[in-house]
Amino acid sequence: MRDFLLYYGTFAIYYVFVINSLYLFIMLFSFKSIMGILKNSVYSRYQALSGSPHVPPISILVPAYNEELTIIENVRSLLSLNYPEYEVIVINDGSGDETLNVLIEEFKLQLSHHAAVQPVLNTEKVRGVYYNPAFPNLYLIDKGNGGKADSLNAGINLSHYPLIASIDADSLLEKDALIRIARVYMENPEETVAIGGDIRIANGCKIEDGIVSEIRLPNKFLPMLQSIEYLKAFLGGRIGWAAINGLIIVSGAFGVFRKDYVIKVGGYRGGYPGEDMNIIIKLHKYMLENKLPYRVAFCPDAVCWTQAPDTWKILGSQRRRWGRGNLKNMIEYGKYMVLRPKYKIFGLVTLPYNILFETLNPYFRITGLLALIGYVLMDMTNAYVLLIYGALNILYGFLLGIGALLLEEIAFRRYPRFQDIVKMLFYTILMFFGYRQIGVIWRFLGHIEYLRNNNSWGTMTRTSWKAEEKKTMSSLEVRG
Amino acid sequence: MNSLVTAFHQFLQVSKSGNNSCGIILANCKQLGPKSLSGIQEALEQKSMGLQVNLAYDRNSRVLAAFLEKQNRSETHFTALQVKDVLQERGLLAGSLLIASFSESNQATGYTLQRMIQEVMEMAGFGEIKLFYHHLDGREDTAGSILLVNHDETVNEFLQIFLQQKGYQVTIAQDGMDGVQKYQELIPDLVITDLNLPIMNGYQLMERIRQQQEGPASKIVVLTDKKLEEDVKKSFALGASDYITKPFSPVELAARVKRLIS
Repeated sequence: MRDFLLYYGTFAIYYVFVINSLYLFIMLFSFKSIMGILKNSVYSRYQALSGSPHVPPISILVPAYNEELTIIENVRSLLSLNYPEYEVIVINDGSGDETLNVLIEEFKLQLSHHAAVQPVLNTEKVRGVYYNPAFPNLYLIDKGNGGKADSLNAGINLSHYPLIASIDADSLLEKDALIRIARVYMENPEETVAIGGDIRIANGCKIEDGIVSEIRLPNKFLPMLQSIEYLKAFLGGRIGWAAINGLIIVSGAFGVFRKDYVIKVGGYRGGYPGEDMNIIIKLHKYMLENKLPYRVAFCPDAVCWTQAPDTWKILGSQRRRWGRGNLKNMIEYGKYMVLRPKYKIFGLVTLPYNILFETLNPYFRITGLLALIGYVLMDMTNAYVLLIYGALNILYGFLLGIGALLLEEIAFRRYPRFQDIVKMLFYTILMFFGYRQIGVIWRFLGHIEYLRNNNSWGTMTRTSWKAEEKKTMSSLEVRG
Repeated sequence: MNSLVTAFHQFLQVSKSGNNSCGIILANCKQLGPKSLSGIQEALEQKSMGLQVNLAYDRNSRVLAAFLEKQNRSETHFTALQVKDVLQERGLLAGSLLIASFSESNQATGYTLQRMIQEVMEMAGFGEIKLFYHHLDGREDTAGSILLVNHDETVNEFLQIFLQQKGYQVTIAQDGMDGVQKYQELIPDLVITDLNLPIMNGYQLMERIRQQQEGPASKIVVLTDKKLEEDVKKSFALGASDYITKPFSPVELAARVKRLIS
């Protein structure tokens, strides 16, 4: 028993060392490419591009399920993007609330009988397509409930343009976001199959007419933690992964795809969460198996603002869903592709990394904790060793956090106030005391849900952007 | 924009039913509170035996405005004497008065009122009453009025200064909704609009302007990023007189504007 624990201890130290070094390594790639990205964006003429006839047209797909509170503002904001030619397709996924009616009322939409829906992908029954010539680039699809993936597939069936952008109905795009992503696409239109955008937390920001008019960090505890978490994941992680073409996920909240390849891989997989990771895995698989040159890119300056859950309950359900989706994807695709040279970087680096350090992470953490109890009971350790081990862990994590903040400050500077930087630093440390651990537990619970065959989407409550604003107002008043 | 213009616009909407004349009295005052405003109102109504007087006061310019229903110029002049008396009794008068009546000719627009406000603030003397003849002289001092609807603040500020130097009256609206509102209040000679606007886009704005127009039409110039032929075609179909794409030359824009309104 003692021997076993000893071996496990050595393994655990290596595990922690390797995972953190890998994180740092990936982050180095982020640093390496950030300067290029920065120069690219400084020397690009986005204003001229946003009216240019050479920019490829895009179909924006907005799946909406029970979004009556925010949908109008979001569609309004989507209709005034800086982009030459695009259409917005809202897909009402059999909402139980007034989502369909508020849209029809607001935009005076009418049932259109000759909308050309091509059945390239199978979906739930489409009840109707609504349209108003006064808003020539807005379509509304009403269909039976079938989940987010199903809605996206229905949107693809109606879409008229070669690129599709998937956007969550609770998110707001910056006016330039689409044109920035399109520029990345235009660098290499032949090979680019998917591009992800940067997701940021909108809680605390001032939002007017569907536009983020004043950028602020969230006032509340949980959104603030998530804000840092997203910064780390997107700036520290995804820029680096994109640099070695090993990106495994393009966030479902905002991503742009080549429609032809999405159709070739069979569209989005319905019936289970994690469809955003799934489509990227399928794209990698298809392109590599057919030996086609390709890239999955990430565009950190195309920003999409999203509402973060601000209660433990809803956050927990979101994280369990992510855990579930991740496990499903790994079982369905990951285990057949992992460590096979045929799948190059994706099979040799991304997938092993993802399986070891993301999917199996909770088990290492939990057994680690058990082992720790064992060490203490068997008197194999002392406070000194534990402290060093803990400090090493936190130091690494802090380094990664600082790295992400540094990337943010070098390249984007969305939060220019000094107090914001101090606040972000503080939360970077705070994350290690409780939040991380709870995240691990959620992921584990997600796996249990998977085994029990629970594949619901879980609850996600929305607050209206206006209510959010009012809330922030009142909290400001309280502080003042 | 001056708060009096908004008040005037409201007054016009209320009084529009059936009357064809209205009088305006502007007076330079000292700082007024809401209490003294209602005091003046009462005193005026007593003096003039039941005359309907609508008072409005703008804090920034310290101008008191009285809007009168169904009053021709001489009646307005008479009421102005009473206003002057009331103000003098209370020691609130700070300068001269300017009156106008829209009975005889001109369409009353926000621009005329803005010009009047400017004139009354520049007037010397104390307690003098002057008639505002501007609408009879035609438009000598300004080359025309322009409403600029655009979301880019930098461009707005620059164009406003640039066009003002050329002698135009320029008003700015930040989005489509604001644009429609200001259009209804001011009825400018020319509208310069972007296509890509929040809340209500340029096409809807043009549509609304087209529906609203009675009498001489406001010209529309589209100033936008969009270079697609679809957009050009559609803009002209909706009544645009010109289509300019960004990046644009301000000199060229001014030349095109001049061709349209002069």
